[in-house]
Amino acid sequence: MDFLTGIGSVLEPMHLLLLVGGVIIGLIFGTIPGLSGITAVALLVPFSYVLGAEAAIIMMIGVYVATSTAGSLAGSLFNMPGDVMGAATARDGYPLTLQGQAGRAISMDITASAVGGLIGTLLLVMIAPQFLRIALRFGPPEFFALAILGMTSVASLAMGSLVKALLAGTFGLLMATVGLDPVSGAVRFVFGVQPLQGGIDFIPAIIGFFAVAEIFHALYYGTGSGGYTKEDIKKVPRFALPSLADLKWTWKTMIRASLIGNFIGMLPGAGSTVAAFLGYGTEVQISKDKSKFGKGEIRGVVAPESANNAAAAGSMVPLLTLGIPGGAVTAIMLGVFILNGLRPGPLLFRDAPEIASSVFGALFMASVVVLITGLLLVRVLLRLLTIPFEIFSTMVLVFAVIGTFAIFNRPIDLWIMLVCGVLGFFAKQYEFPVSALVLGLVLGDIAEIGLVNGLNVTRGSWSVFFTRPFTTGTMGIAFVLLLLPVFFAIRRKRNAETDEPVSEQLI
Amino acid sequence: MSEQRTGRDGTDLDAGPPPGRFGRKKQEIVVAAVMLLGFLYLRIRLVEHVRGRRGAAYLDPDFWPGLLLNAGIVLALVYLVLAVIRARRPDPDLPAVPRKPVADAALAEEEDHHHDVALSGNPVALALGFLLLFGYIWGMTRIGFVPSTLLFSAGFLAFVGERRWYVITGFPVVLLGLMLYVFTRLLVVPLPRGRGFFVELSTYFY
Repeated sequence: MDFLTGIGSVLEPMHLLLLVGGVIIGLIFGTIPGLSGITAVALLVPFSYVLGAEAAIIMMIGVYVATSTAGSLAGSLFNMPGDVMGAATARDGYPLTLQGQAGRAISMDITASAVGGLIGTLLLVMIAPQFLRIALRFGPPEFFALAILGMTSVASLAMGSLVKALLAGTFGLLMATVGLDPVSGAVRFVFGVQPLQGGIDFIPAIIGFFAVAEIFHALYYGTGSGGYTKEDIKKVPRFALPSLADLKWTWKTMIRASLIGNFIGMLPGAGSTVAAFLGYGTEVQISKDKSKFGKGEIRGVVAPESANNAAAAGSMVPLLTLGIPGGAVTAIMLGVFILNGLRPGPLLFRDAPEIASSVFGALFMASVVVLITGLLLVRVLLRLLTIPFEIFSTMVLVFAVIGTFAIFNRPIDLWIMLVCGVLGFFAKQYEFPVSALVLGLVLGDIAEIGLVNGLNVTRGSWSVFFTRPFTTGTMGIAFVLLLLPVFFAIRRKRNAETDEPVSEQLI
Repeated sequence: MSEQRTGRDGTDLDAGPPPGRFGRKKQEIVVAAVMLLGFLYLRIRLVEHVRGRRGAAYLDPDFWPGLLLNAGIVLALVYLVLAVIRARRPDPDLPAVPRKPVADAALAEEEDHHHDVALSGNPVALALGFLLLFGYIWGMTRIGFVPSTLLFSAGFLAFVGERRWYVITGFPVVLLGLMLYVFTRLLVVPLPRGRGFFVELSTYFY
């Protein structure tokens, strides 16, 4: 595993071309509200058969890094972010636009993202080997504890209802039990549908939950078209370059937010959205003049952008060293590794060190490419917002259907995608976090194997999950995370900031 | 920037969904009840839905699903109780819910919870969209990828409001060509060919 070797690998013409292609796809999908980076990465899975694991992962990293940046462009301009994490940036980015400083907001947005990505990658290169040493000692109880930590952190840190997040996570875990039991081989919950014995693969499910559900949502509310005009786009300069004064004023913020984001990204389940809001919140808290935030403070744009891009790099730590994905995108990447006969975890660094190096190199180079293409192509990207809903929704659905079929050539996956699209629509309608549902589906097997094998070894003694140092610590953190929303709800009530009872704040 | 943006059907995008007859709080109770019943049903009939040898290992194959279903029942019960408590509380007298910009909504989401407004949209559009996609998936294995994609693309374009005939006829052909090139030439994916006559038709394309 060598960082410079990874850079060298990514600079090979074919890999570089795929990385740039991935970045452009990511910028497109990230900019258009409703088309998330998750959808883009999921739709690229069939290409991994032709490209191979290394090239496919490089391309996907390009998409991942670019969507983390592009999600906030429309947020800063129109207060309608392409994804939720862009909402933190819009708090100050949009007021800047209203003050006639759209170019400033956009240029710092892209620059901070790139800096966050670069710092995050360097931290990843330093931290991953340390994680690897610990990971080699892990047994089933540790993996179960990590799965529980992932589930509790996605439930606790997700904005909204704790009960709904836990319900969504439980439902996701239950979905993962469909098909053959990974321990005993028993058939579970197939309801007479034989093809379901193969289980519910999470990639068709993710395409349903994100791409199909988003189109259903737009159909239901008739909000597909953004109604943006070319005049709206012209507010942004053709080439958005940051000023030296802004860079001087915000460099400390970028470093601080990157460190926070990277740490949050390493927590399974926490993700870039939490990182963005935590990066923003921290900057507000430590600022001498908090009143500037929300009114067009440039540090309010920089902090969430650096944090969410650093989180994207951080999320690679549990994926590469433990084989545990922290969110939907890393889950899809895990799927690509497995489809190509590789298993992320300590053995990946022994059996295929060039892949791990390429991940590091791709993350670093993707940030550089995003910086260059973002600053130069910003107005072209924003023109995408004028594409009619009729065209892109049709394209997305056709691509979703073919992309889903192409992964395993199984018609059952198409039905799974459709059902998950409906479930995703209702989840969004009633504010159940889809991220918790997906994480449950992804971590289901890991959690079950960890729990059942752990209990089998100890002949049913649960103490194994609470006596080993790592499991005790992990379970402790999970428990604290679970109690945090309740604690904050009670504190808010005591401070009389709201008249709502605690029960009201938990649903 | 235009101050007011409109959707493709002319609705104000910055306005929230209109109030429905069946309030949001009641809908939440129904959702909680459905989830509770679903988990209860699966828990009671667990043995029927898990087919495998029991007693062969220390833990049976229904141990983990049983654990999850128990957790689901407890959580759904909590959700139901909280939903009922909330429904019984009087509402602040607020007329309509202006939809917040996403940025505000994400930070101050709980404010929306105070309003008993049904998230009503256009269920007919949703149902038709679902049926079109259902038909596409169902038809693909019967009439093959080429005819089903052409029919779906043209139908969906028309359904979502496209009225220009050259777009409705031309775009599906371009899209199909692109998909065929990418998936049959680049990725060599065996796309569905359909049955009977459609198998022969499909062989002309891939």
